[in-house]
Amino acid sequence: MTPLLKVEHLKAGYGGRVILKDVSFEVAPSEIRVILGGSGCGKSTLLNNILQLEKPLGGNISFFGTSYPATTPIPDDVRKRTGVLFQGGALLTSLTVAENVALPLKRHKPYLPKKIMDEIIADRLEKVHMMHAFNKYPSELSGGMKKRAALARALALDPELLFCDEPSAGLDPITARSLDELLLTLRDDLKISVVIVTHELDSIKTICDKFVFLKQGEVLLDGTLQQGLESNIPEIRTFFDRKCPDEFGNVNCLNFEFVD
Amino acid sequence: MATIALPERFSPKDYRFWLSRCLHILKNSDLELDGTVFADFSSESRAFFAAVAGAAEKFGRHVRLAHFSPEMKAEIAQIRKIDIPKAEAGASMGPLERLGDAGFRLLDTLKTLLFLLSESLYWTFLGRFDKKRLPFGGVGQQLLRLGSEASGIVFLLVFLIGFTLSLQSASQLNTFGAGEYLSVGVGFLMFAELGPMLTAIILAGRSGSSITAEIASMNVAEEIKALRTMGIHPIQYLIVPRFKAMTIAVPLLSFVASMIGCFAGFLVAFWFCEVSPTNYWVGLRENLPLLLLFKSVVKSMVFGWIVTLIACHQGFKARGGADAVGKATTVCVVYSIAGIILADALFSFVFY
Repeated sequence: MTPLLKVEHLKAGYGGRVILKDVSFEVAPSEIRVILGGSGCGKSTLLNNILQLEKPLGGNISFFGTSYPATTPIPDDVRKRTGVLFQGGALLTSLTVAENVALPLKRHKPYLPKKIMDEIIADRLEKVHMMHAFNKYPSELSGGMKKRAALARALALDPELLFCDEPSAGLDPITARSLDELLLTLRDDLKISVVIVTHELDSIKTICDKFVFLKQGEVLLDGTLQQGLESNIPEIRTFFDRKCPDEFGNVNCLNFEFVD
Repeated sequence: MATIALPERFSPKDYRFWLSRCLHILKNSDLELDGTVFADFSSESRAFFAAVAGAAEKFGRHVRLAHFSPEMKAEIAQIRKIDIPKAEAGASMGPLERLGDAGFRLLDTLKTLLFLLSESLYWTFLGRFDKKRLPFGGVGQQLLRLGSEASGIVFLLVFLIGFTLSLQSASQLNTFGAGEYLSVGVGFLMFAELGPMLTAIILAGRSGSSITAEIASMNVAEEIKALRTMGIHPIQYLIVPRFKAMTIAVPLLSFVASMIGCFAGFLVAFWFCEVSPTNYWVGLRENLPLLLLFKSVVKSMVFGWIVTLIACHQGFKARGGADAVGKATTVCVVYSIAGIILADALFSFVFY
C-alpha cells in the first residue's frame, strides 16, 4: 500500500537556525501517527513545514503517492484532501461556528447549494457534539469547544489525512477522552489517517498506532507503540515512565566554609 | 577578615543594608558571617547567601560562616549555585551598517507593497475572468465598516477645517475687497488638496489601523495559517475585499467631503464677505475645470490604495503576541500618513 504521507529528509529552520536536521517517516492509510518529543524539539515546526506554512530548507514530501520537492507549493487538490486542527482552534473570530465550518466547503465545493452545505455543517457539528454552537461566535465558546468546532471544520471536506496540533492540550479529561474516541472512530469508520502532535500520555496509549520520537531535530525512534513501551533508549524510557530526569545529578554547592 | 553578626531574621528593609555591608567588605577582604542567633529559613535568606557567594567568587574572596545552628547549616548546604544568564546584547552595528540595513528593509517593504498592489489590482479588475478566483465576497461589509462608518468624522473634520481656512482667507481677501474670489480659492483648495488628503489621513487613522489590527491579530492567532491550510489564499480572502471597498469608498468620501468643505466656504462667504449664494455657486462652477474633479478622484483613489496596502502589509508582517499587534498598528498609521503626503507631493508635480 502506498503511504498517504511520506516525509523524506526534511530539513527546516528559520533565519539561519536549523531546527529540523533530517526527518523522515511515513504514514500508512488509516493509521494514527503520533509525533513525540520534548518541548522545543521541533514538533510544531515539523507540522508547519509538512503543511508548507513555513518554507522548508530541503527534502521531499509525498502526499497520496505523488512526490513534491518540499520547496514547491502544495497544490489545491492536496489541500482539499487534508484537514488541519490547530492548537488553539484558529477559528476565524469574525465568523460564526457554522460559517467557519462552511469555509472549506465554499472554497472547494462552491457548487453546493446552501441547503446541502447546511446539512453537511450540521452533520460535522453533530459529530463533535457542538450543534448548540451553530450560530455562536468563537469568542462565546470555551477553549475546548473552540477546538471541537475547529475539528468539525477540519473534517468538513471528508479529508483522508488529518493533522492535529496538540488536540487534547487544555481540555478536561472527559472531553479529551471523547476526542480520542472520536479520532479512533474516524480512523475505523472513515479510514482517515491522522498525524498528531501530543504530550498526553493517556491519549497516546489509547490511540497511537505508530510514533516518531524527535530529539534535537532528528528522529530518535520510529516505531509502533509496543516498540516504544519496550524501548531502552533513555529519553523514550523517561517519557513513557513519566519519570523526571535526574536534575540533581551534579550539585553545585555554594562555596562556604563552616566553622563553629 | 572582617566579621558581621547576622540578626535573628531579616526584616523586609534589611536586605539591602546587609547585602551592601557584605559586598563592601568582600571588595577589600575576606568575610566572616556570625550566625549565632541567625534563624531565618525564608527563601529570601537563601537568596541572600547565594548573592553573597556570587559576590565572593567575583572578587576572589573567601566566606566563612561561623556559629550557625545545625539546622541552618543544613539549609544553607542545600542552596545550589545557579548561573544567571546575561541578556544577549544584540549585534551592534555601525551607523553606516544601520543605514544600509534600513535601506534594504525599505526596499524589501516597497517590493512587497508593489507585489500586493499588482495582486490586488489583478483580482479587483481582471480576477472575474480567472478560474482561480475564490467564491468569497465580503466587499459590502467592508464598505460599511471602512467607508460608511467613517463618513461622519470625515465630513465633520473637513467642514471645520474648510470653515477655519475660509475664515482666515476671508479677512485677507476683504481688505482688498476681493471677497467674491473666496469661492474659487476654497473650491481649488478643497478639490485639489485638502479633500483627498484629509479624507485619506483620517481614514488611515481610522480604517487603516483597524485593518492592521484585525489582520495582525488573525496572524497572531494562527487564523491566517488555518486559511492557508484550507487552500484559501489570504491575499484574495483578506486583502482584495478591503482593497475593493477602499477603492470605492475613498474617492466617494473625498468628493463629498470636498463639497462639504466648499459649503463651509460658502457660509463664510455669505456671512463675512456678503457674497450671494448665486454668486458663490457660479464662481465655483465657472472656475473649477472638470479635469480638476477627475484629478481629485484619481488622487484619492491612490491614497486609498496606499492606506489599504500598507495596513494589510503591516498586519501580515506582525509576529509574536499582543505587542506585535500594537506595534504594527502604530507603524501602519505612521507609514500611511507619510506615504499619503509623499504621494501628494508627487501628484502636485505630475498634475501641475
